[in-house]
Amino acid sequence: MLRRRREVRPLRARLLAFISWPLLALLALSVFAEYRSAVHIASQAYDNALSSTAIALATRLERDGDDVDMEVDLPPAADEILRADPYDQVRYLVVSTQGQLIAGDTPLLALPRPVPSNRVQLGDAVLEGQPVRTAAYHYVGKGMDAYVLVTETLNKRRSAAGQILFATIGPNVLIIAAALLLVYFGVRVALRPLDDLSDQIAGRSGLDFRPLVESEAPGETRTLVRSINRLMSDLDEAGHAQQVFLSNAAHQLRTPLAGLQTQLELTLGELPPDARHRVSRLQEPLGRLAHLTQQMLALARSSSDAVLAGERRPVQLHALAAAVVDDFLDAAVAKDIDLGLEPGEATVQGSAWMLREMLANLVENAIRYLPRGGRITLRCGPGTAGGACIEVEDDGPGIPEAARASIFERFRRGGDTTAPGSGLGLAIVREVADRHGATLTLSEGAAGRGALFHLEFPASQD
Amino acid sequence: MRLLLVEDDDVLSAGLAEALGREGFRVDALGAAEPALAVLGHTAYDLAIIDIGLPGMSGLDLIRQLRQRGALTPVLILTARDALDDRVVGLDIGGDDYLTKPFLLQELMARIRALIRRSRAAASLALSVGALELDVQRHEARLHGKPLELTGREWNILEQLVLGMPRVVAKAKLADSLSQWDKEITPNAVEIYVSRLRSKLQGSGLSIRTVRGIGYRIELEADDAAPAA
Repeated sequence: MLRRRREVRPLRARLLAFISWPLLALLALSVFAEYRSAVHIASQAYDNALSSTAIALATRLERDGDDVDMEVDLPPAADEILRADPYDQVRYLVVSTQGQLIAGDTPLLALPRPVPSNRVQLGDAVLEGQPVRTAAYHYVGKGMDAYVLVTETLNKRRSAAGQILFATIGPNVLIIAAALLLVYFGVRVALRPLDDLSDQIAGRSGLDFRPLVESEAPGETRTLVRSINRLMSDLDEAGHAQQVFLSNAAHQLRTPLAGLQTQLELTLGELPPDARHRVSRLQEPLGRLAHLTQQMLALARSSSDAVLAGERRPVQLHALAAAVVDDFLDAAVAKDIDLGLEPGEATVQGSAWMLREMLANLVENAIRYLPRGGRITLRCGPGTAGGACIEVEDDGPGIPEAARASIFERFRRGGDTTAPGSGLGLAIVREVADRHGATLTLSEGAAGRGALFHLEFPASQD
Repeated sequence: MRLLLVEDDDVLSAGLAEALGREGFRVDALGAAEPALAVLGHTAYDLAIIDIGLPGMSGLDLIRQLRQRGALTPVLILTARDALDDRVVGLDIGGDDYLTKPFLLQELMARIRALIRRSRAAASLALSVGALELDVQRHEARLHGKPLELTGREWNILEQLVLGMPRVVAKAKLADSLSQWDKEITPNAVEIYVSRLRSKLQGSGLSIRTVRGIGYRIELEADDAAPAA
């Protein structure tokens, strides 16, 4: 039943994935946009300051009398302040339109000149391998004009961008986490009816074909529940049809066998000795045929899924064991085998005929492989896991460890294949054990001799 | 002894009728439930052997109607199904024992004899097993025609064992049969009486087998010598 558990999980994962990934992408996009706009605003402020510096420098341009030379009347203190920006290196250049250097740093000469304009032109450039922001101003004064170029490294801007990034991401990560958490719990709550449905099915024995409760299911799953219920009822019907068929098949097979066996027994007495010997050899295969028919029907019936659901009742294992011992006493006596029971109080929920068939097969198997004078003991009582247990132990040759796993397969027989047997007995044992949720183990008997089949039934679930 | 056999399979029915005839029974064989019901209305049989799967009215319905009329005829059910439910239903509605097809004639004979013994005991008639005769009414036993001295407790146990044949009789059931003598009898006390019975049955052809953990079974030693009838 465990393998059926949580089959709805992939649906939940899908739902979570389909909601979470787009949500995550959307949120990431929004963070990016927010960051970009904040950085833009910040850099505008720095650009304004840079423009002001350029304009301020231009206003300081003056002509010394008639001297053609222009110079920048920059008080040393201002120059000091300009150059002493704690974060960025600010440099400037003033050139006449004729290309004559008036003041400033010569490396700036390498930068492209702005086109004439009465507005400050902002731009990006690379100065001595470092990216810089530039502000250029074309100053037109009293009969003279000049270019003013101011550059500034990007440290301040970068640090501002970093701070903005940090300030943007922090709260947004929280929002994203909260959103994902809400989605997760939302999906959980929304899918709970499906989980309940899954539990309802998982909690069943596998033979329980009663319809699921439709009214408890939410709208969308109701169709599913209806389909499951229809399937359940189909399975149930198919199971019953199979039962009827098997029951009829049993009748059709067994009655002619009974007639054949009876007639053969009668004929034997009337035959001359030599013919009697030949005919008596027919009895053995006939008996085997009868036995095989019985076992195949038992196996087919116990394999049919619909069986156990309707037949589950309390079965007293000690009474069942006593009845089986009684049934096989003659066979045991014929081989001088001491067949006995160590009874203990043990009741399980199950099908009486199946359990009896199972026990009969274990005892029959033990009698078949045990040499004359052996001992077979059935034992039942409370199990170790709160349920019940039953075991069949013999002191015969035992079953080699290597063969133990395979002997429960159909038509697999123990080492001595000349011993009569259908090869279905232990397959029936395993089938019935499985049907009852019992654990079947095979080990050595007491003192390391013989074989011990132990069946541990779980505590009653009903 | 007169038996009614209701079985629709001709081969099986003829074989059974012949085998039962050889055992000294007078057998009337019918192939359906309806005529059987009519015959059972006016003829007294010592036992009826009824197959469940009959054409028309089923064997179970036949037994049910028979019991509704108050007939006490012991009924041995033949069934081709081995679902215990069928068996339980059969016994619940008034069958006395069942046998699953196919079966050995020896097994059938043992069941028939057991049923007849039980119905005779119920009617307080004499029972006999091999050389042993039990007068149920007088609580007297004879072995090889000679009186067998038994105490009351020994008689109770022997009667239970004989009525239980060929099945094993649980020790607890034997202890219960002694409750008229002792209020609380331990299963161990049963062992004492059984061992006394064993020595009294020595050489009679009857023996009492101990079935470990369950109880005892009385056996005719000749039964073991001939495994197939």
